[in-house]
Amino acid sequence: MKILMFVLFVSQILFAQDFIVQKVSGNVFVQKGFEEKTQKVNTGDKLKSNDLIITDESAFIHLKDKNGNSFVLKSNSAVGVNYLRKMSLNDLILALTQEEIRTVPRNSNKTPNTAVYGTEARMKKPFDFQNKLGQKKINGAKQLAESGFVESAILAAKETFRKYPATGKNFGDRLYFADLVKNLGLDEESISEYNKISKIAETDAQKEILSNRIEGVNLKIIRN
Amino acid sequence: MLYQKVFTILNLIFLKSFALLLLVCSVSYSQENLDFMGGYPSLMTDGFRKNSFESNPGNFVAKSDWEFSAIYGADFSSSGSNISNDIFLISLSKKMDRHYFYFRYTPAFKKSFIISAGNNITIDSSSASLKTTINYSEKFGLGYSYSFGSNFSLGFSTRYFEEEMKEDVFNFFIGDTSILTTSTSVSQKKFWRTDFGMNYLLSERIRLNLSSKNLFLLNENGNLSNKHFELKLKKGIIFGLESKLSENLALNFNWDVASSFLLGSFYLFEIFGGKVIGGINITHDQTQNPFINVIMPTVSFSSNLYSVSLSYINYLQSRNNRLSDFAEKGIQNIVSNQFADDKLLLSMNFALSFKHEKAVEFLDVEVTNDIFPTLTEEFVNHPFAIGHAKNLTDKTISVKPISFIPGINNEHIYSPTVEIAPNSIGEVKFFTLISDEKNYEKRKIDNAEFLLFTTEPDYEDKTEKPVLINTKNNWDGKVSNLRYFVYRSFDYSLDFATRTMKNYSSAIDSNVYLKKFNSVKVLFSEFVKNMNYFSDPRTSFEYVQFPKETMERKGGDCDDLSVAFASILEIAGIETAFVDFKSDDGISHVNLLINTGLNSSQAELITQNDKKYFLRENQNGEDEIWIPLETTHFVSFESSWNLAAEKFYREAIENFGLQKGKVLITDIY
Repeated sequence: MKILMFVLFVSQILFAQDFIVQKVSGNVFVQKGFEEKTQKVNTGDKLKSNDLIITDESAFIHLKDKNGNSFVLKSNSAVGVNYLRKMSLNDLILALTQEEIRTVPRNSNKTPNTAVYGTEARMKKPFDFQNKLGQKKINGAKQLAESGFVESAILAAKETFRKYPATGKNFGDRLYFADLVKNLGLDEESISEYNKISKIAETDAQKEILSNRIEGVNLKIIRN
Repeated sequence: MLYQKVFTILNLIFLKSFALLLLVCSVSYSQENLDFMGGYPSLMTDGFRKNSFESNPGNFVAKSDWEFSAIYGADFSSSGSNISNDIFLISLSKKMDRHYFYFRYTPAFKKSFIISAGNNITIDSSSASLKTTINYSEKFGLGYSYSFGSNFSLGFSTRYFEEEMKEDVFNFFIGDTSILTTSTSVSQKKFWRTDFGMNYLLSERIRLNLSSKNLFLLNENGNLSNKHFELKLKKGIIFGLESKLSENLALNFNWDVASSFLLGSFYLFEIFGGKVIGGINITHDQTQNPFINVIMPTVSFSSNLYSVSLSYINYLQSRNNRLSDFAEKGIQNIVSNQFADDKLLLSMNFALSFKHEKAVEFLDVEVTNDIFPTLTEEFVNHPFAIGHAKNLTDKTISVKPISFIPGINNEHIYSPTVEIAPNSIGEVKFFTLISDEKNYEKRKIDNAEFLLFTTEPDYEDKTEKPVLINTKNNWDGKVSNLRYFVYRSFDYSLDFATRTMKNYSSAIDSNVYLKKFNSVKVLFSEFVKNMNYFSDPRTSFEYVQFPKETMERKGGDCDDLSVAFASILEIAGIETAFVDFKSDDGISHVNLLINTGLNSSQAELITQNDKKYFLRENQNGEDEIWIPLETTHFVSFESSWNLAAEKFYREAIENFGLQKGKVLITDIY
């Protein structure tokens, strides 16, 4: 049985800062800053905002900052320490606009990308680590949301869906975070998310769920 | 004693008879202070000068090179039984650039009073009668105006007047037979009158005029024997205001502060390629009754080559029984006075253009950008100067702006044509091409020539402005413009890239997916060998080395190194972008983002740390992996990548630098 998440949060507001590892169970790793390698985490270690915590199966880690704010990351998850903070809604909206900035205003006459794209089968093996890490990050983002860091969770999830494309194909996960956007009252952003998810909706049931969600938000907009 | 007695009696008779003098008015016009020739607001159409410097000697409105004017009119005596007609005025004007010269001959600008005793005097067999004739006339006038621009002009007019008084006197010869004869005593006054005036176009719809009245009076000889009958030449000021209420409706108001005013309202409509202007002027004159003493309906048609106007001057009070006025007050104005009769005037102006009439003129030109010779396309895509030009015609015209900067151009440069509506102002933008054949080693100030052309072979207007030409290494500080330096010395970069990639072909080709990434690695490692960092050689302005210069000098600052390495990558077919990190203290840092060509699923091929790359969507909607690279860090590719990634992640992603404009990405393509 997986370890149940237990989160202790005294304060609603946590700023990205150093955390001290209070307890470690199982294999927990940290990817420091911009390093390639990961290293095992031990009790008493200091984790910085650029660090990424990764837990394996049947593992968890308990962190605490100097103000006594705690966070427990359960098994098979990953979260950046910088996400362990309460973001403002405005910051989230600002962060979401980055999507537009990331589009390259490319000259149409430019020589097209010459990269060779491999097949899924060929890619599967070499990118196993990447796929696993992506899913762990989604798990971690969900725990952020459940811990009250909804804005951070949304941001972490969106980044993960994009950087780890395999995770973006999970309808349930995508819907979960889109609902978070909707629940924050970001109507237009949520409709945009639902529309994006509709591209991966395969079953009629999934399509109906999305249709209902979009209709609900639209009704809310009209009534307001 | 007898002589004296007789003489006294005769004088008394003469004076008593004064009240019964027969007035013969051989009238015409002179010394106008207000425009009594059917003038309308010049704001409505600035095609012609309308014969006038009366109300405003500084008025500089004519467009024609040469202009000929004439007024022919009829004068209706108060009884209606006597109609006289004459040529009132002939004028010729010439415009030379900003100078305007005007001459007019006024053959019928005159007024005569003949005062006659009602009875003959008879002594013995001799009989005689007495009369006094007073003639006022304006012979000719000269005017000059200078335009200080499209809004302001200043000028003066000088006119020549003659006054003449002929008085009959009795001569007695007392002898065996008393003989009574008469002789005529003549006295003359000839003088010049000079006035100044100015004209100011406050806006497209308001024009202000100001002129003096009788400012300088220069007497050539003496005075009339009876000064009482001389023209009353009070000094004064005439203030004028024209207001264009709409495209079709305008008002004019001229106020002679001493004695009178003129108020008019005119309506314009276009027909047959010309303008019809109709309206009415009314005037007040202190010396006349009633309060509004004249109404002047006017209708006019004007085209580019001629104008014709017909005016009727109607005095609202009877013209009879004003002799006492003349005896008491004389007259102040030869044209409009208490003795003037109704008139019908036909006024014609003809443009005698011996050269092409200017269709458009500059209002201003502002050089908005200094010239940076290396930023070539900037001056093709963005204007270096912006001007405003006025269409002086009644038709929409196409204006071709042309510029020439000797220091950077081999020939005149045509900028895009601009359409300007009739009598409107349009914005003209001047673009330029920078020649590769010029020397840009030293900064200098050059005189840029700006020309406006229409369909004529010769230019319509021309002006010059100084332009700063920087050296080839000067940069305007905009990171987006660093790309122009990337394109320079491409051959050198090509040679470097080709040689290096050939030398390391096996490393580059080791993985089919990583050709670009591996190319970046080997090119960077080769590029930074023996490279040093040093600041700009000059601090007063931005200085950027060409890639060849950076590689030959083995160093530069962040701009130089980023430009040089971007040049190498671009020539190798690897897309790059400048990343501009702005700081609050104004000191920017530039490094690079490089497209690995990998998609997001392939990230693991180059890193297991997703903070080290940045996804950008290409035009096909696919995400591609771009990696930051610090070009001023020469230790290794990996450490340069890490260093840049950390800075990019912190400032662009975590601190929302991209959204806040603190971090700018400028693609080089």
